[in-house]
Amino acid sequence: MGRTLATFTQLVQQEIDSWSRYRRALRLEDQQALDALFAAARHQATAGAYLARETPFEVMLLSMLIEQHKDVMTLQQKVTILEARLLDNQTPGVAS
Amino acid sequence: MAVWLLGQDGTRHRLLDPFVPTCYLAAPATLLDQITRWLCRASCRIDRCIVERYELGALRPLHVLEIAIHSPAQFAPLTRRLIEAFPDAQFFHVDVSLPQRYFYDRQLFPLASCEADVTADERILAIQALESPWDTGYLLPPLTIMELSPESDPPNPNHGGRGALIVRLDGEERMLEGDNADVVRRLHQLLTRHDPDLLLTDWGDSYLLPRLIAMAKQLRLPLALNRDGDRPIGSRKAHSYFSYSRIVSHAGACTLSGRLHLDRRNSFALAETGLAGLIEQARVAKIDLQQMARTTTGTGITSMQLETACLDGVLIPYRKQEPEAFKSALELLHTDQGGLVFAPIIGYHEQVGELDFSSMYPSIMVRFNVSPETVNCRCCRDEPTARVPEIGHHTCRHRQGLVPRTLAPLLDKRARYKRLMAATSNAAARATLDQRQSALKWLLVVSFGYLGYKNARFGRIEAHESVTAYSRDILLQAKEIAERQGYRLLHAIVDSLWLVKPGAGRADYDALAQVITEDTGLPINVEGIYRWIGFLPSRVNPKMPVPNQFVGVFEHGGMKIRGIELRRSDAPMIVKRAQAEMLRCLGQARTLIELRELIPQALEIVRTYRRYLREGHATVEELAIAKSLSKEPQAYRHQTLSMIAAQELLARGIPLQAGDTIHYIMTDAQAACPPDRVRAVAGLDGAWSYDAAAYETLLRKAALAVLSPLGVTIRDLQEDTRPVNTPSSGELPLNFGGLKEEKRPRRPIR
Repeated sequence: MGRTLATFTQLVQQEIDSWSRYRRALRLEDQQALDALFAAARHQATAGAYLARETPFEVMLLSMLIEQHKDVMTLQQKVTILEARLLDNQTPGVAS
Repeated sequence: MAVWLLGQDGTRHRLLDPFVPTCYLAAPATLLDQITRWLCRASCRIDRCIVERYELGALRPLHVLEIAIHSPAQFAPLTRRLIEAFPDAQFFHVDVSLPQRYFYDRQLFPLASCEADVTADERILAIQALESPWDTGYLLPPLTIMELSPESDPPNPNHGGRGALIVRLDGEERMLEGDNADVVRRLHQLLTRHDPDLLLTDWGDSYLLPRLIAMAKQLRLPLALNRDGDRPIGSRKAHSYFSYSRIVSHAGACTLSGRLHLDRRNSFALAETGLAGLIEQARVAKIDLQQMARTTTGTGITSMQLETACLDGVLIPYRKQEPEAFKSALELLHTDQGGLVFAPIIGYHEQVGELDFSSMYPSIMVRFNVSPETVNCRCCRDEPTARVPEIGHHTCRHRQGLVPRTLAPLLDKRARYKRLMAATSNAAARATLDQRQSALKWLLVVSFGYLGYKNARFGRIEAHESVTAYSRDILLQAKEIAERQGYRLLHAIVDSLWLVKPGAGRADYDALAQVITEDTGLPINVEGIYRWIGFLPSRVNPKMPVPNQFVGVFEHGGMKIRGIELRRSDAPMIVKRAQAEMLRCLGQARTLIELRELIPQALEIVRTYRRYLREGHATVEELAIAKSLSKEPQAYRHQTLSMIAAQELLARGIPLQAGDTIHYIMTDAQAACPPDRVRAVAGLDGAWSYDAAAYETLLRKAALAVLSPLGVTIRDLQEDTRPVNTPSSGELPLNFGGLKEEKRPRRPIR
């Protein structure tokens, strides 16, 4: 069974390829960040394919944002827990 | 052609060599007839014949009329009139200076050791060089040198100041004083008695010689500046030109016959590479010393290309002087990407290695055969190895181009000088070798600019684009190799990389350079390992990195400083001195921890200078600000400080042009009345005072430029007694930018 349209994963790969010169001129640490972003875009492949928008890069950007937002929320939760734990451990008279 | 030779017995000879310069022209048959008739009416002997010659890169030869002019003195006026009379003909070989043509033709060069057959009436029958311009171990002829300079050392005597004339000969110094007639008489006496080969002056071109000549003329006294008394003194008017987005002022020139005049204050080559460097350039470029001293380095590299063309029998097209038109930003974006720059990671870093590709652009031209006629040749279109990365061009794999052929011996000679330098322990010999290799470096540096420059004889924009495309690819290759080996790229500019890897030492960086050289085919060397290096942020936005602005201390203790006040010509001496002293203090640190401990001492230095300024001790020399006029002084529309100073000089009748450097002092920078804000140094008399607050601002900026990445703020500088602590703002102890290795006391997060 052949497909006429590229799958969303293929579209992401095409997008990655189109940025290859940009990626090459990034420092290694920044290349790793860029790769993580495109990996995030792939996470929402099902939703992206379902929407089937003409400009898939928009969909990819929003997918990246979703993953970023989830990461921020997770970190926020962790910070709240750690802060609570620190305050509990601090007893008067003991220097930090 | 008059040729001056210094005999082995020490006698100086003026000889005549019957040199017959030629030029070529191509024109339709009817026009050719007219030209032939025109030439028959010329006043000197002219030989003509039709010959076959090639244009650069042409596959088929061109039938051209060869015109041999038997009187070299007639060559320039005759060809000029010919071009005017027949503007539709194509001219070749018409505008190359004759001394250069003579050198190419006879295989000679300035100051060459040579052998000549001479007739009794001092005519040269045959002459040949006994050495090659590519020899590195040459000796110079024993030149008698006389030095002339004004007594005081003003920033520019043309802007004011007067005094006696100092003459130095064989290490002896004489001061010529008295009225004008005395000075002229005594100088004439010294010139005739000692008969120097070389007149080395300070301000000779724009000030000393024109004045001396005028005085002698007015007083009707003889003054034997020329050795060749029959010939006039060569002179050229002062002018300004636009180069590398800067206006440059060129003082006039006074060139002598039978004797060399070099002005230390009007020679880029002399200032950058010394007399040894200037001679080196003149020898390889085959341009006589007086011209080489006063011309741009580009003329040198052009001359070398012209020689290659002449020897190959390639026609040199006549070029009218047409500067390159300004391009729009969009055009530049597409055609002129230039080299790659990775903005630095701001902050101070430890154990950083700097790797530099040596002469990257010329090496690319030689290795990949980039030349105007080899780019997009017909024969190698489908050759995959001929492809230029990124862009659609290719270079020829079959024929070596004119530019690579010209540059290869230059690269080779510089490499030999560098090897000799490494092998010698004699400091004086090393210094000479260094001057010579850096003279060659300058020729190589500008060679690239002449690939795509419209004024260049053999330039083509595709060749220029190919070189930068290769350079970008090679820099990225180097970065990839380094990153694969665990290095972090801190900063990179076109052909230099700053890398760091915890625990890496000299041997590791050398090994890395070796791998990059092998993989890319271009030599890269370790410039040095820094104990620490600080990449400094923009003054406007402290979060924004700026390329090529840093201070670093090498393992051997030497410092490398770029982009800060100390290196800027417009910073006043007192600010430079304060910054230098601060850096000397910080330079004692071997690690970042030690560096941080030295901050209070550095701040104390700044405070000492501030007190000195406030108490009014600073002198004119310490306060003078040098600024180059970016346009004609009349064209300024805003009352900038340099413009006000320029107006003051103009009002006193001192001629100024764009590119001239003026010196001024800030007297009251905020004054309502503009003329009160600054005073030109040349016009200062007994009563003047300076604006301490304005200088303090400059001092503070200079200090913060270096210290702000270490957490020092304006407050720390202002408070006189408070010891400096680490910043206690709410920032996290983690610092992603600079001080990664540094241990700061951790605080709890509240």
